[in-house]
Amino acid sequence: MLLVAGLVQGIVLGVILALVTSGMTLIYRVTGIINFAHGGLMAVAMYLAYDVKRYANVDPLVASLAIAPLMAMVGWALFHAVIRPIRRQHHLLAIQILLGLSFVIEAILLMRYGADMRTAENVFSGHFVSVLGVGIELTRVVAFVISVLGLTALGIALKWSDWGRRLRATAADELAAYLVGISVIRVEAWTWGVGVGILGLVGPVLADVFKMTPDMGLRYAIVALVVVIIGGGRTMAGTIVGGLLVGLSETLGLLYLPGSYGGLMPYALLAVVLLVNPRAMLAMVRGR
Amino acid sequence: MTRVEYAAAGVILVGSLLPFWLGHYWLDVAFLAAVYAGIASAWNVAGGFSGTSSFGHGLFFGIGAYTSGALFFHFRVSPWLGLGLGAVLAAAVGVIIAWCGVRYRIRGLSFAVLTLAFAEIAWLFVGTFDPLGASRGISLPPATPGLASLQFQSGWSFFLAGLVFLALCQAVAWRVHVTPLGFRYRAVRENETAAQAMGIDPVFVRLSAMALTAALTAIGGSIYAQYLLFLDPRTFFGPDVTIKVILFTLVGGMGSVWGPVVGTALLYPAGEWLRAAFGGRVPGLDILFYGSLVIVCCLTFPAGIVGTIGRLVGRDGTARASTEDT
Repeated sequence: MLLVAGLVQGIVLGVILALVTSGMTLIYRVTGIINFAHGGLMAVAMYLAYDVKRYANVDPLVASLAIAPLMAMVGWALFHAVIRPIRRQHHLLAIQILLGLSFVIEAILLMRYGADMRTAENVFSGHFVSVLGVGIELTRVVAFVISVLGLTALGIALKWSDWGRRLRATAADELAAYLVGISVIRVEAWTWGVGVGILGLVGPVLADVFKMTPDMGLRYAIVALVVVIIGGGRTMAGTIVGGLLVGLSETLGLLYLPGSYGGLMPYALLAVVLLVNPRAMLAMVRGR
Repeated sequence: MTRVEYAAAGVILVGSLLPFWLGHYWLDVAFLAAVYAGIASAWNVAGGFSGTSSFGHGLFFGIGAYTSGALFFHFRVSPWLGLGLGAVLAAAVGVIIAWCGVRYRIRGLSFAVLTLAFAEIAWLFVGTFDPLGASRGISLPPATPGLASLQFQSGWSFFLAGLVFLALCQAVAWRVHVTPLGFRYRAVRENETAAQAMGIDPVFVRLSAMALTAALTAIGGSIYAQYLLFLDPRTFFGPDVTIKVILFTLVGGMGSVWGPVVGTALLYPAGEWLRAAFGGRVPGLDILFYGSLVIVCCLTFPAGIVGTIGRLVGRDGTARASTEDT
C-alpha cells in the first residue's frame, strides 16, 4: 500500500517536473545554454497568477491562458535582449547572466511580496480524490493532466509542425540548417518563447501545488537541471524519463529512508548518471 | 608583477586599511570581504587558470567549517588541527571528484554540474545527519580568545586573520600563475589535446588544481566558522558561497591573479552597504544589485575589470601577464 502511494505520488510529481523541464531541454538542445533562470521565470508565472487571483479574482487556471503567451513574449524578449549578444561566447558567461537574472527576479519578488510562503488557490483546491486507493490532492491531478496534455502537444508540434522541423534541423546541425535557408536566430528566439511560455501554462496551477517563496527559483532551476541531465538533454522522451526518475526517487526515498535522506536521491541519481552514462555527458560536453 | 598588478595591489592595500577608520561594523564587513576574496581567488586557481570550473565550492567550504567546528564541539580539538585536517580532507574530496571527471571524461560544463551535484548531496546529508547537528546546526562553544582558539575579541584581529588567509591564497595563486605549473594549467585550459601532445599531463593538472582550490576554500571555511561560532548546513554547504565567489571573480576578471580580489573588494562592501542602508525597508536590494550588476558586466566587459584595464593599458592581464619580470 505504501509502495502504491509512493508510486502514484512519484509519477504525478515526475510528469509535472517533466513538463516544467521540457522548456529547459528545448532551450539547451537548440542554443546549448542551460537556463539557470528557468525556476525564477516559473516563480514569476506563479506570482502573476497569485496577483490576478487576488486583484481580479480570476481563477489561476483561466489566468494561465493569458499568462502563457505573456511568458512566451518574455522568453522571446529575453533571448533578443540578453542571450543573442553573447551566444557565441563562453558558456559560463550565459550561465552567469541567467543566474544574475534569477537573482534579479528573486529580489523583485521579495520586494513586492515579502518572504512569506504563498499559494494561489484554484477552483479544484482543497479537494482530494482517490487514485488506486491513494488519496491525492485534486490540484495535483489537474496539474498532472495539464502536464500530460502539454507534453503531448509539444511532442506533436516538434514532430509535425514547421517550427518543430526547423528546431530539429537547427539542433542537429546549425550550419546546415542555416545553409538550407532556416533563420537560426528566429528558431532560437521561438524556442526561448516556447520554452518560457510553457512555464506560463503550468505555473499558475502549480501555484497551489508547490508553495511559492521568492527564493524558490534557484531551487527549481537545479531540480530541472537534474532532470535535463538524467534525461540526456536531447529528447522529449528523455525528459519524461528524467522527470519520472527524479519524481519517483524523491517520493520513494522520502517514504522509505529515515529522516529526510530521501531528498538526496535525485542528486545521487544525477551523480550516478553522470558517472555511468557517457551519452548523457556527451550531450553536455558537446554544448557550445 | 605587471604595472596593472602593482596598481591593483596598491589599491587593495589602501582599501584594506580603510576599515580601521570606519569602525566595528565595517571591520566585520572587511573581514568577510577578505575571506570571500580568498575563496574567490582559490576558485580562480581551478576555474580561471586551469579551466576546471566548479559550481560546488560550498562542498569544500562546508568540509573545512564542519571538520574544525565539529571536532572542536565534540572533542575540543584545537581549531588549528581541525583547520589542517579539513584542508586535507577537502583536498582529498577535490581529488576524488576531479578523478571522477578524468576517469569518466566529464569536462567543462558537465564537470561543473557534477561538482554541484556533490555539493547538493553534502548539503542535504549534513542537514539530516544528527552528529553534525542536522538542520538545527551546531553552536560552537566560545573559547578563551586568542590565536590558539582562532577566536578573537576584537574585529580587527579577525580582520587580520582574514588578511592572512587572503595573503595565503594570493601567494598560492601567484606562485601557480608564474611557475611552469601555471603554464601547464593554461595550456590545458586553452586546448587539452594540444597540451597533451606537448607532454603535459592533463590528469595531474586537473587533480592538482582541484586539490589546491579545495584546500584553500576549506581553510576559509574553518576561519569563517570560528568567526560565526555557528554551523548550519545552508550557510556552509549551500550554493550561496559558490555563486558569490564566481560572480566576484567574473566581474573582477577571471584567470588573472588579482581579478577575484578586485571584484570582491568592490562588490562585497557595496552589497553589504545596500543591505545595511535599505535592508529594513527594501529587503532584497543587495540581491537586486548583485544580479543586475552581473548582467551588465557580462554584457559590457566580459573580460572583467582587471582584464579590461589590462587591455586598456596595452597588456592582456588575463592570460599571459606577469612572465616578463620573473
